Amino acid sequence: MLMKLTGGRVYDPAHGINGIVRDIYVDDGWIVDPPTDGKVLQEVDLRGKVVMAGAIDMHTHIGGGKVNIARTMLPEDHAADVVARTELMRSGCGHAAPSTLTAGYQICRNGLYGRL
Amino acid sequence: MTEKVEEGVWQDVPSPFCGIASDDLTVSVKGQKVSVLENGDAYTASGFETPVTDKAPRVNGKVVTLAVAVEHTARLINNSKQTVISGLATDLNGARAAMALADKSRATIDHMNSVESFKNTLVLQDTGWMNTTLSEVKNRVDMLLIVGSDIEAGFPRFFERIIWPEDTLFGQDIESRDVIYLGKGPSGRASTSPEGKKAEVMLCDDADLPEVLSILRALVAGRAINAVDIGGIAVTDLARLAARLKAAKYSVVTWAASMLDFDHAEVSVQMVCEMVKDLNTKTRSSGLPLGGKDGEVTVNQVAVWQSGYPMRTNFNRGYPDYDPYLSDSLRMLKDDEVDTLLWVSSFDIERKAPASKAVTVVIGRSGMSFDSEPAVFIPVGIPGIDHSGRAFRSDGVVSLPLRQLRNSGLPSTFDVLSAIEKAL
Repeated sequence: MLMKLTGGRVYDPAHGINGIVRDIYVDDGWIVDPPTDGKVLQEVDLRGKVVMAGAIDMHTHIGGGKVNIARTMLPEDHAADVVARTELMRSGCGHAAPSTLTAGYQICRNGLYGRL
Repeated sequence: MTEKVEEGVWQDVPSPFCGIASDDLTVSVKGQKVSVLENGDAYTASGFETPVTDKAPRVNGKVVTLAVAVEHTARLINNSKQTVISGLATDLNGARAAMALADKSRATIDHMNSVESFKNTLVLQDTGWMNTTLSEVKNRVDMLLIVGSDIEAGFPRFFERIIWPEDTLFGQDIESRDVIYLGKGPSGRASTSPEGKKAEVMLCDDADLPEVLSILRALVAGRAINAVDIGGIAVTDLARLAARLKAAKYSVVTWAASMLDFDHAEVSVQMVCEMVKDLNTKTRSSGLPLGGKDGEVTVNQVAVWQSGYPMRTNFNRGYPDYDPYLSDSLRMLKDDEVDTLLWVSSFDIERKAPASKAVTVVIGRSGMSFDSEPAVFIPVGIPGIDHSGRAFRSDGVVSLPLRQLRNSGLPSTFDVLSAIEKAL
């Protein structure tokens, strides 16, 4: 069923489209060229709205805001597990929520985010 | 995003001075002169418009090159037994450089606003809290309870930007929002709605506020109260407030720790936070501590992710060691436990190093003056004006990019602290 998405502001990095206002035609779940006769069965008004492809939010939980809240809540956990500074590595601490540098060194050391 | 709309005029400029990081300023830059054209307030205008004066570093009052000042500072720190790095009114990279320097030099770190911010930090560390962000408040609040604080005095644009916005995400009628002050009343009219609905006020002294909050929490929990009035507020009025909190769909309880100016205010903050948790068994309620000035949130965030701990942490033993009482820099300075104080203050020329017997190095905003000349003064640029950077907002998890608006030739705090670390 041919559907027209009208007037949205489109962001499509894969095709170099960066905030262009345009129409999109969808037929049975596929994006298609505009119909030659201009006829559509359904129109959705997207003026004033943003259109983007679904995205995958790749992220880790090492340095983010919520893990930082966790770190702030765990001073006793850190104190039991301190890591002294060496010539090459900064000091740090932590067990349940290690400091970022300590976590980074551990990941490099043995490819795991966890205790040795 | 900040944009240059015409030569010398920038739009959507974020303010690192206002705590809630208003990011809709229009700023003009002519040579070295910066003026806020639109959406400024007292803190923002003074933050952007204070002019550049000194550009040359000084050692013991004598003008020297930056390299000489850095060398001298490194020598002071190398010979120091108990260095304190404080002030720390800076942005993300300034904070990173301070942490690296503290780690290498085995110093103690603290921030100029710690007396206030620890009223919140101690609560988070003890029993935690359920807090929210400015964006959520803007879109959802139906009842705002303001505890012990005259919010607009410290955060002039809070009401305009957060409580009375033009649109909200879910189409809520902002005129239906209730604003109630408990403790202090408002000094101005920012809490009045656009159509003239005034805030309600229940006044009491700071000395009575802890007990008022305890009673309020008890009433929310359904306890019977024998007292008839507390600090001049009728218990029946508090009972009505408790009922309204329970009936609200998204109440927000807010306070500014800087205005809870009484001993152990953290206990009152905890009472509020525990009450918010109690409310969440049947409805939605969130706390909103307001702060974020002078880089206090930025520096605490960086310290926590790099060391595990917030301010008042020392590296004396080669690893981070946190003690909010022993490593309180003001106490240390007062008790003569500090031989070298490195004071960073890049936002406000009036935030000067506390007077003490310690040898003092000031990395300060150009334009800072002194009652007593420090051993070293290195004038630096301001994040968001003289160099780009990043600053965290009052609500913690959100950070904003800062742009460079002019070329003053002043180094950044990051440049200076990194150079000192290299020279150690």
